[in-house]
This record gives sequence, structure tokens and C-alpha cells, in this order.
Amino acid sequence: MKRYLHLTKNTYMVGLVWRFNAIFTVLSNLFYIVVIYFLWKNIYGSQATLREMTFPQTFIYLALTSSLFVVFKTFVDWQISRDIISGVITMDLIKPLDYQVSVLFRSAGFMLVQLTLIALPTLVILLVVFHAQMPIGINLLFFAISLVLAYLLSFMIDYMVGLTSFYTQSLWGISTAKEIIVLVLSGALIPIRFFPDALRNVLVYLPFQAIYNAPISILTDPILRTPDYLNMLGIQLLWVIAILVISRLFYAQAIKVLTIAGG
Amino acid sequence: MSIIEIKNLTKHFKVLNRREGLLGAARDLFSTDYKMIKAVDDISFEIQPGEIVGYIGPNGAGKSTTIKMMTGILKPTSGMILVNGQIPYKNRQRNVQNIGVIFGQRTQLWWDLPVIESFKLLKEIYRVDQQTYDRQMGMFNELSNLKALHSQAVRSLSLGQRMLCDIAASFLHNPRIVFLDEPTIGLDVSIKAKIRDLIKELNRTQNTTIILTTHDIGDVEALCSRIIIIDQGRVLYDGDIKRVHQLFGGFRTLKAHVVPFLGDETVEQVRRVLEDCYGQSENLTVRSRETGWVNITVNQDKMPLLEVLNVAMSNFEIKDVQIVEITLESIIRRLYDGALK
Amino acid sequence: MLATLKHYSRIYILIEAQYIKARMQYRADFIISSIGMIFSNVVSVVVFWVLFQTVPLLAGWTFPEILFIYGFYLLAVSPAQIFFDHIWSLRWHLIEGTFIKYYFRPLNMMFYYMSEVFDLKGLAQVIIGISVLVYASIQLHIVWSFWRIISLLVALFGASLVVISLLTIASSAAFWFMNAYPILSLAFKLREYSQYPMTIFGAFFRILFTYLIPIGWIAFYPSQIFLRPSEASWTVYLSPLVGIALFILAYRIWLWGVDGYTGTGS
Repeated sequence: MKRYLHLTKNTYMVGLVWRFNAIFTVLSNLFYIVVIYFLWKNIYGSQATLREMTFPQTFIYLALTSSLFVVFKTFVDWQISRDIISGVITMDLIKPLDYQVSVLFRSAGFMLVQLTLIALPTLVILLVVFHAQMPIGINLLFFAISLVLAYLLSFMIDYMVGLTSFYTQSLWGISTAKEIIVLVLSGALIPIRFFPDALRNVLVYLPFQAIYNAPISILTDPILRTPDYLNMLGIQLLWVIAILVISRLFYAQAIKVLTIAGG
Repeated sequence: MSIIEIKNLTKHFKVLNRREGLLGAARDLFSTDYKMIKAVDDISFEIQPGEIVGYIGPNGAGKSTTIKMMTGILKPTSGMILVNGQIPYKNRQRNVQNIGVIFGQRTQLWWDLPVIESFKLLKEIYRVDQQTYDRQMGMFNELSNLKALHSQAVRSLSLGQRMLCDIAASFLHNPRIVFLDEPTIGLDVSIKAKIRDLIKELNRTQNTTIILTTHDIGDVEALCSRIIIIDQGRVLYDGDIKRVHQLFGGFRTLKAHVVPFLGDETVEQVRRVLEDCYGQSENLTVRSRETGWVNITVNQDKMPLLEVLNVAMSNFEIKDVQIVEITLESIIRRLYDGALK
Repeated sequence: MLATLKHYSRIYILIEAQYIKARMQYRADFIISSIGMIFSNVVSVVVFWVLFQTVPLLAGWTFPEILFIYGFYLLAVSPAQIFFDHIWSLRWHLIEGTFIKYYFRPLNMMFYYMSEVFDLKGLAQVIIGISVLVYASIQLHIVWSFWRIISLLVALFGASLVVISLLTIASSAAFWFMNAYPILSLAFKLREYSQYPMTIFGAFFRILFTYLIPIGWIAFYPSQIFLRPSEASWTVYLSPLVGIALFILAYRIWLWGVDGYTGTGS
């Protein structure tokens, strides 16, 4: 375990050095939040609620999903693709560390940097401005757990996308398609309640909402109570396990390419 | 009329004394704390059409900077420079039309394309007429069998093949001057010979002036009639390669395989013994370049070589001896140490 | 002048014909990249569609009108995508010193540099853009007379220059800053926000996006010429000039960077 944590510390330190990058990422996120604010303000127009959500609720929800998106974007797929193309991956396979776990811990370091530098300040600002609208209580504890589960899910999907590099060099196309699918179907671009009912029922059963909708709802939805939180965490956990199994199987399949193709 | 005229050419670079950290970087934006680096310091020379000139010096000597000024990339800080009768940094496109350049280890051909397509593109870009194109391509074929490579993509060529193509490409539009930077680096002996032959023949038939920057003494000795040695931005030597040999031709290096060989200690001992006998002078140097061998360099015209060998042999156990001519590298080192001052 | 244009056109066609031939050997990559591009272009249509299930108007604009702006946007950003994609590599070429090779040919350096990459997946973007624009036009009952089409092309030309200029300026930061990637990345993101009507913004941001970071001129303002010509201010007809002026600025900045570059090594 100690060896894995070392990897996390490394990337965290490197991440902190990227102050220049961080400033622009924050700026970029702020611009996005501004656009979201104005866009939805105009969508609401003079109406108080749409689909049982008020404008402040919708705005806070989307501002947080966008921040979470930035936090979770650790370029795992590109990292793995580089490892495979350069052949470095064979070195990782020799080491006494599980590849998936070591990539996870490496990515976690980067993720923590984004969390501290970008997401937390955004969250604090939102709390200060909108504290009346946001539930603050035991849900914060559940949120923390939900966040970890959501991150694991997001990571594993990125991990599998990265593994496709064993089969093809066109990572950009696959990564972009994945990103769009996740963003749309997870409620990150539009809250799930805004989808037509038929679609909404499907989305609830897909793993994507467990990445963005679940944690952010726990954090911001005033209607939810403890049973609801536990329910959502349960579903997240189920998906984490399911996707974990799939990712291990996929890895076992993909790695055969190495032994067939040689060095 | 000289084809290249350089008079009192100087190039200074202002280099910021960078500060640490983010705050430091911010303050750097407003800083006036600069360091002045004299990359090229008051050099002058003229080159005549058709010459093949070796432009040599250690890394950081100012070679690249001079070449960049000759090709119009950099503006001089002061001094005069005329290439083909024009000021190089004025109207880059017009000047570049009449020169060929090989600079750096990356190819200037199109990586994914077959070799012949690169040449066709260059024909278009340089507006080479069909007659000239056919003649040049014919010549390249004759001299280095370029046709065999025509349909291969540049990225699939070996380093030597690629260099051959790059050199040919730089001559395609029949330029008056060609700048070649390290054309044979990393290549094996047979390809080096091929490349040197190509360059020599192209110079002979087209009277192209060639400026050759290289660390390879073999290149210089095979191609150049004249060398300009530059170090720390100044010209150390400008003249016939033969004269250099004259000045240093008398030097021989006695390589002695001393046992037991204890590295620097042994070298020191040999030096002390010989200097006790003959005194310190530039006619006698002792160093070691390979494990086990002590190199005693002696100016035969001033000192009795075989006597020196005798002294060495009577004081040390020497298993093997070689006598070699001084290399140009060694000559250059001596020049840096002020042999010509 | 005409001769120069002919000269450059010939060279460009020769280079790209060969480049595309070489790229098409990677058939799978072309298809997968195009699919990725299609996904990223269609997502906005999906988002708009979902939104308009709940509300009839967005800041006073109907769904077909929003689609028109979006189709215009896709076509406006395509030339930058297809012809100027090499900007993303600029900082590598500068750092490694390989940029120096562009000085040695009797060609305009920006032309030579950009000609090295032709982004084929941008073609998918053009197709989607045309489809969306055509669909929206039909819904809006826009009549495409000959002159209307000409003005569309002129407006697109100006708009695409705005995109090209913003991205080129952002990538030129690499001439002065080592870590210039975030600047280009930010510019690329901002470009995306031009698909929304400028009227959603409050005064401060409207001024910002009209005069300082002029993304308003990429899709929204030029679209006014076709969407609500009677309500549009006369200034929207100036959009091609905005594009040209911006490009002149971008080119100047590029030249400034090129002039100051000294390469690696001494």
C-alpha cells in the first residue's frame, strides 16, 4: 500500500508545480460557469421552477458537475495510450505492482491537485453565495463517500478507454465519444430531470449517472433524506463492482495482444 | 567578387537572469537585470565563389549563430554581412531562393511522402524549370543512384539514405551557396565516403560555394581547402588547411602502453620525468585519452622524438608503443591554448 | 498578385493531395476520428433539443433559430479545424528547435507551417454543419437566392477568419512562454461558447465577447443577417471586416514571434 501511496504523492507534487496550468484551468472553469449561469437564467426566464428545480438549484448543480468534470479529468486514457505505444507498459508489467491499481494511484495524485486547486475554491464560493439554498448536514459525509465511488467509476471507464490502445491508435475518437456519452447521459450537461420521461427511466439504470448525478444530488438536493442517500450509494457501489469486474476482464483480454505481437 | 562578405560582425544576446518561483517569474516580466552574451564577437572574412570552407569550432563557439546570420534568420547586433550581394535578413524569401541549407538533424523533406514527391514539391516551390530539374535529378542519379529510393517514404529510409536525399534536395534548385551542418554525423564510413563524393562532385560541376560545419575531421580533410576556426565568438584561424599542417605537421603523438597503469597518477609521473629532462613547453604534452595508454605529444621539429621515447622507456615499464600523426582535433585544442598567438 | 495566388494554390494542392493519400492508408483511424467528431458535434443538437422540450424559447430565440446559429458556428470553425490544426504543435517545434526548417524555403512561413497538417476529421464537421443549417433553413422558411448564398459565404469567410485569428494568437504565445498550452486550450474552449446567442449575457460579458474576445462574431452576429434582418443592427454586416482586421492582427503577432525566434544551439 505504501508503494502505491508513493505514486500518489509524486503526481501530487508535480501537479502543484503546474501553477500556470492551474490558473488557466480555473479561469476556463469560471468562464464555463458564467456561460451556464446566463444560459439557464434565460431558459428559466420568468419561471420560478422547471421540472421541480429552481434556477439556483439548477445552476449550483451544473456548476458543481462542471467542476467535478475538471477534477475527474486526469488523462488516464492518454497516459495508458502513451505507455502502450512507447512500450513502457512492459516495464510496468514486470514490477510487483498491479497495473490498474498503480495507474489509479498515480491518477489520484493528479485528481487531488485538481480538487484542492479548482473544485474546493469553487465549492466554497458557491456555498458562500448560495448557502441558503444548499443543504448542509449529514449529506456532506455521504457526499464524500459518493465522491470516492464516483471517481473510481470515472477512472475505470477512462482506464478501459485507455486499454483500447492495444487495438487501435485512434484514441482521440474513442476518448471524445466516451466523454460525450458520459457527459450527456450522466446528467452533467443537463440535469436528468430535464430529460423526457421515457429517456429518464433509461438513464437511471445506466452507470453514468452514478458518476455525476449521484454525488452532486447528494450534495445539493434538499429533498433527499438518509434513506435516499444510502440508496444512491448502494447503486454506485454496485456499479463500481460491476465495472471493476468488466475492466479486469477487458485487461486480461487486451494484454494478450502483447504476448501475440511480441515486444 | 566575394560571394560572402562579413566585416566586424557581432551578435549579442540579452539573457535574463531568471528568478525562482512564481513570484520571481512575474517580476522577471519587468526586470532589467540582463546578462550580455557575446555569441559572435567582431569576426570578418570573405568567401569566394566555388570555395568549400570548413567552419569549425567547439559547441557554443558561435558557429550556429553565424550560420543563422548568413541565412537571414538572425539580425546582427553590428557589423556588415552580405550574401550573394544582398543583406540576408532583409527579404528572407528572396535570399533563400538562392541558397540551400541543411541544418540540424531533422529532415527538410516531407516525412510521409515518397522521396520523388518531395523533389517534385521542391521543383514547384523553387520554380525550377523542367530542363534544370531533369539535369539535376539525372546528376543525383549518376552520383548516388537516387532513383532506387524514389518511391520510398522518407520515414522508411536509413539515416544515411535520408542524408543523401537531403543533400541532393538542397542542390536541386542550383543554388549559389549551400550551408551544410553536420552532414555525416552518426553515419558509417562507407556512407560518409559516398556523401563526401557527392558534395565534392556537385561543387566541381556547379561551382557551388559550400560552407561546411562539422566536428568530423575526416569531412574537413576530404572536402575543405580552407578552414575557419571559431571559438567563443572569435576567429582563431582562417586559412589554408595545408598551413595548419605545416605549423603542426611536425607533431607526433607517442602512445605508450604503460604498466602498471594507475590513471592520472601514472600520467603525472610520466609528465614529471619528461619535464625534468626537457622543461615545460608547448612542444611536449602528456595526457591520457584511453585507459592504459599515455599520450606523449612531441614537436619533432624542436625535440628529438626517439630520445624522448628512450627516457620514457628507461623510467617506466612500457609494453607497447604507437606513433601517430597529430589529429586536427588536437591541433584545434592547441589553437585554443594559444598556439598561434 | 494573381500569379502568387496561383503559385501557392498549386503548392498547397500538391502537398495536401500527397498528405491525404498518406493518411488514408490508416482507414480505421479516419473512421474512428470522424465518429468522435460526429459525437462532439451532435451533442449540442441533443442538448438543445432536450432543453426545448421544456421551454419554447431561449432568450427569445426559437429552436430552429438556435439550430441555424449552431450550424453556422460549425461551418465557421471548420476552416480553422481543417487547415490550421498544426497550431497545436507549435510549442513543440519551438522548444525542440525543429521550427527552424520553416525559415529556409522561399515560402510564406505561416503558409508553409500550416500546410503540414490537413485535419480530415474536420470534414465530418462540415457535413454536420451543412445538414444542421439546411434543416434549420427549411424550418425557418429561409429562401436561398443566389445573392443570399453569396452573402452566407462571405459571412462564413469573415467568421472563420475570426476563429483562425483567435486560435493563432493564442498559439503564438508559445513564442514567448514555455508553457503556453493552457492559453490555446482556453481559446479553444471559448470558441465553443460562440454557439449561444449573445443576448443571454449581461452587459459586461456582452461587451467582453463583442469587443475584447470577439467570439460573438463567430456565429451569432453574422447569423443575424439571415435570421432577423429587419431587427439586426447595420453593424452585423461588418462581420467580414472584423474577421479581416483580426486576421491582420494575428498575422502581425505571428511575424513578431517568428522574427524574435533564435532557435536552439549556438
